[in-house]
Order: sequence, then structure tokens, then C-alpha cells
Amino acid sequence: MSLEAPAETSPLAPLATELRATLGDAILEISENWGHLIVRVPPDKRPETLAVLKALGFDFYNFACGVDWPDENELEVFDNVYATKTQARVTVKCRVPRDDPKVPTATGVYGGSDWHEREAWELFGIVFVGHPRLRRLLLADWQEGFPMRKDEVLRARVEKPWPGEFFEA
Amino acid sequence: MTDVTTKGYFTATTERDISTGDMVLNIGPQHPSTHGVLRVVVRLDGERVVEAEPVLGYMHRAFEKLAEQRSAMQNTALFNRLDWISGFCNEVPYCIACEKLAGIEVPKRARVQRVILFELTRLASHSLFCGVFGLELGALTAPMYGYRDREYALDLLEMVTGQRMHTNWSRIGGVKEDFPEGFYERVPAILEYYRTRVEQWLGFLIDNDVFVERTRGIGTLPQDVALEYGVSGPNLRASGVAIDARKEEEYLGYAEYDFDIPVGEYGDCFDRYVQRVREMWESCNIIEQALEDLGPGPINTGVGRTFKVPAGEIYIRAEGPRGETGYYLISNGGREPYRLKIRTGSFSNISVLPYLLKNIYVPDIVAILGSLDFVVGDVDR
Amino acid sequence: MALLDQVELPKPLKFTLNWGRKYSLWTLQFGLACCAIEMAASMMPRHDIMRFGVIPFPASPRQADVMIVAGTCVDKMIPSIIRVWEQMPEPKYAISFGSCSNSGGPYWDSYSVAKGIDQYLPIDVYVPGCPPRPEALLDGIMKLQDRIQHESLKERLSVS
Repeated sequence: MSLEAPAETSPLAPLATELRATLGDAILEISENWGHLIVRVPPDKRPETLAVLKALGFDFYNFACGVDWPDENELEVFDNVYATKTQARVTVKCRVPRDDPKVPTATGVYGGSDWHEREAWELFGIVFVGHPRLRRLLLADWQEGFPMRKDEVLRARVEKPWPGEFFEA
Repeated sequence: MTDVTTKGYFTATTERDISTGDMVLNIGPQHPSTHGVLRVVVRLDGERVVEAEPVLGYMHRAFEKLAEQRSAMQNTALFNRLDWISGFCNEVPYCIACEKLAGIEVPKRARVQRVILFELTRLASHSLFCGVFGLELGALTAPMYGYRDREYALDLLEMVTGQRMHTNWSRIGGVKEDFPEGFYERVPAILEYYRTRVEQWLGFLIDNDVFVERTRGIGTLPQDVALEYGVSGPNLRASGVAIDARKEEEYLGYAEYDFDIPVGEYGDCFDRYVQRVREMWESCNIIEQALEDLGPGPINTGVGRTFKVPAGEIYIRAEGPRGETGYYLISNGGREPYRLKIRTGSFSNISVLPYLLKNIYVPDIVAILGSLDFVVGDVDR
Repeated sequence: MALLDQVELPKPLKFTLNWGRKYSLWTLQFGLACCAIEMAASMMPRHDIMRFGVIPFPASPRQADVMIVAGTCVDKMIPSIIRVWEQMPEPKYAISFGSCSNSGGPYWDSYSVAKGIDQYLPIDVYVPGCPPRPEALLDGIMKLQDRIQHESLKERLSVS
């Protein structure tokens, strides 16, 4: 997906320049997507980026989630934060390799990332280094594997596929 | 101290070596007060809570994985069941996300119909809250009133959609059908009823000393903690932060309607209760204005059966009765969404429970759980 | 009780006993998910299940006759459900309310949902719907009452 950098007239442009000034090389890419900013950073810069954003007024921690990109053999971690005063929204993205998915935790910056990171760990297998207690949140103890990864199939659909019709163009 | 002096009746000392320990109490998952299957493990020092930890997952149905298996149009039927008390409110942001990515313009009549049904669902949900919150504190008549009030809004919903709870009415491109005959005539009477009920709810419980004692000063949520944990909806507004997605986001045309955002002062259980009652009043205002705004026109742009959401990613949120319901939709142009992250209000709302349930008494646990108004389907997805 | 599982009761006594039992059912408050809201709505003034003799108050399984499993039966919750069922004293009945507990419902392909609670418990009445209307629950209760009326306690208790 090609996303473009914020145009000069966009209200997010000053924020983008400020982030580039503070973080410099840490930022791989900044783009604007449907009115909010997407900042792509390497995984070890995640807590730093979030701390900078918090200092800039992004006080509302929305969520963290994982995405599986099996074609590129990578897992991605998103953080979505929101500034209540300026109503600006930023998504921080980091990619990690699937074989060794380690990302430093953001619980030191935002307390709310605690539960979201636990959920991302148990569903995708992304290890958040430094998390106070990384353990199961939603899944049962006997659940095996990381269910949200694309290679985990739903057994019920494999045994007997859905008998309805899909309409194709 | 191991002596017990018994000389004299009033000089007996009662300090002895009593070894005490903390007791771990497991509340739930089957418990009348946990609003569903939430399990809270508390460590008690006598009657005081030292530490509490919610254990989730007893209603984890894997919505995000299921959303990846169903086509974009089939998913609307699934999302009603997230926050099951307000079914219609969960479909709308998902439909808006698909419509925005596909560049579909929703006709005005459909937009206004969505607003009316959304606010009716909010009325139903808040009536239920008022009733059930009384039940949590021991007022056994309160849920009778709450459910009775809810039935009137459900009557209207059933008249339009055929279903009381999981309406499955919003479609990508609009709504399913137009309003039936006789709908406009029924609404003003029901709004009048809800307005009188709001005044009665404000007097029914808050004039009661026991209610005030049990909720004032209990479970105070400071603003910075609430924001850091992502608390949203009436819980956040009761703490004094005036954030409402209806005012901040341009969705469903809320900018055209004139309504206030009530804000609380302390953020305790009492404020959260009053907050929701006041929001019921505002919802009545919105429905009235929306009914006047309803002009003629189509109610669906008619997306075909072979509809596929174009590639892209977007985050759309709506202000549901529980908080902010948001969908981060990543689509790669296929029939099904590639990844749909569902951000629900209740999940973030109860992530502050370990903070709130500290140094309180055991009955206050129930009061705090009730005042946060969460739904376990929303939490576990 | 020692007599009931050995002796078949004479008809008038059996009629009276079953008549008394069927009109004084106590349901366990066991709402799991969305169907719990409709089950609760059936107990509230508009639909009023109490006129059938069904009192919805016991929160303890030790005092309940009927367990209405209302809502999705997630795998993590199944041990609790079975434990609560085993805590109920005989004679006990179970109603499966809603399509999630009948067969898994809309989550039939989920990795964490049991495809119907009848894989774990003996269910007497199935009430279909998603969610079923409160009137459907009243209909299910009436069918259960029919079943109880024609039941022989000797057969029920001597087997177990």
C-alpha cells in the first residue's frame, strides 16, 4: 500500500516535522492516511517514539494490536494513540521477523498497553520484552499455538466447509 | 504481646499474637453481579481488598479471526453480538469503514435513519444500566423499572428492524429498509415517556441516602489514569474529560444536531450513574431533531453482491453507550477483510480495575463493577 | 426419597407430585451472553415468568431445579458450567436457550467455542433463536412443564 507523506497544507504536517526533528533517524517513514498519521519505526525504537508522542500531548492510549504478514515473513505491531486537545491520531508501526518476534514493551510509557500487549502476545506470539507479567489474557490455558496467525486454520471450516454460496463477479 | 492481664474488669488488654493472613477470594465466573462471565480474583485482608485481578476470556469467541473468514458484507451480522446490549451501535462504524474505503456516499435518509436507531439503542442500553446498577446495590425493584423502560425502545426497534436486540440492519451503503407505516406517530409519545423517566431516575435513587452513601466517593477515577488506560464513553466523561466521538468525528452527520455533552465532576460511581441518565436526555433531543431532518430519498446506494472492499486501511470509531467502538480495517482487496482489529469500549474500561479495586471494602467491588457498565462480550470479543 | 426410586407411585399421587413440581420451578441465574438479557427480560414485568411459577432468584445451584444455559459456551467456561450442573441436586432439568448453546450458533467455526452445550450436559428443552424472544422461553418452560407432568420419578432416580 503506498501512503504519501503529509502535504504541506495538511494539519498534520507540523506534527510530522516535529517528530522528524525529535526522533531523526529512528523514523523509517511518516505518512498520512485518512486524516491520521502513520509512523513506521524499527522495533527497538517503539518505547522512545511513544514517549515522544506522549510528551507532545498524545495522552489517550487507544490500542495495540498485531498483524501477520506471512508473505513477507513478518509480524507487525501497531499502537494507536490520540491527542485529546488537538484531536490528532497517530499509529506507530513496527515490523519484526516471524521467527524471532521481540519488541520492547510500552508499559513504562502508557499503563494501558499492559493488557493490549498480553493479548497481542497470546494471539500472535509477539514477545514484549520488559513486560511486567506477560501471560494469557483471553485464551484458555490449554489453547495451543497462536490462533490469529494466518497459518492457523479454523478446524471447523476445514472439516466441513461453509455450505453457502459466495457470489463472484 | 502474649499476656492477657485479667486484673480489673476494664483493664484487660486484648492484644494478643494473632496471626492473620490474606484470603484469596474468587468472584465468578458464575456470579450474579459480574455482568456476565467476568472472573475477579481478589486478595482480602479481612474485609478490605488488597489486590484484585480480573481474569478474562470466558466469552472469547474470536471475532477478529471469524471476521477474516466472512466476506465484508457478512460481517455486519456478526458484530451485533459484540456489545450485545446495544447491537445496532456496533455495526455502524464497521459499515462506515467499508464505505469510506470504497468511496461510497451514503444517502441522507439512510444516515438519519442510522442516527435514530443508534440513539434509540443508546436509550435502551442506558435504561438497562440504571436498572441493573440499582440491582447491584441491592435495590431489587430497580431492574424492573429499567427493563420496563427498555421495552419501549425495543418496541420501536422491533417495529423497524424486526429484531429486538441483534438488529443486523445496517448495510454497506445504507440500511436495509425504510421506516414502516406508523413509526413517526409512535416516536414522540415514547420520547415524552423517556423524558419523564429521566426525571424519575434522577430522583428515584439519588434521593436515597443509602444509594448516595454507597456510591459517593467510591471508585474515583482520576483523569490522567483514565486517559492513559484508554477509558472512554460515559466513564471518561464522568471523570471530567469532555470527549465524545459524536462531536469530534464527522460521522452520521451529528454535527448538524444541537446537543450537549454532560460532564461529571469527581468520576466516582455516583457521577457515572448521573452521567448516563443525563445522556438519555440528550439522546431524546437528538432523535427529535433527526426526525425533523428526515427528508425523502433512497435508503441504500445498492452495493452489489460481489462487493469487495478496496485495498487500504482505515480506523473509524463511533460513540457507543459503553464507550468508543472502533474498527481498524486493513483490506487487501479480497472478499474478506485482511485484518480487522476491533477496539471496544469495555476492554479498556475494565483495564483500570486493578487500579480502582484497591483499598476498598468487598461490597464496593460490586458497586464499581456495576458503575463501569461493561459487557463481557465487548471485553473478550 | 428412599422410596421414590423403588416404587412406582399410584396415579393420583404421581399427578399431584408432578403438578406441584412443575409449577414451582426455580431457575439458576446462569446467563452467559446476549441471551441472558432476553432471559432476564422474560422475568421482568412485561413478560413475567413468575406467573408460571418459575422464580428466577436463586443464585446458588444448591437450591435450583432448572438451569437455563443462555449464551455462548466458550471452552474456557465449560468446566465451570459442568461444575455448577453437578452441584444442583436431583431432580434437575436443563434448558438450552439460544442458538449458541444449542449448536454453537454464529460462532460455529470459532476455535474457542463449544458446538452446543449438549455435548457436555443432558438437555431437556432446546429453545432456538438468536436471541430467542422472551415468549419463546415461556414456551420452552411450558414444554418442560409438560415433560415434568408425564415423568415417572422412579425411572429418573433409579437410573442415576
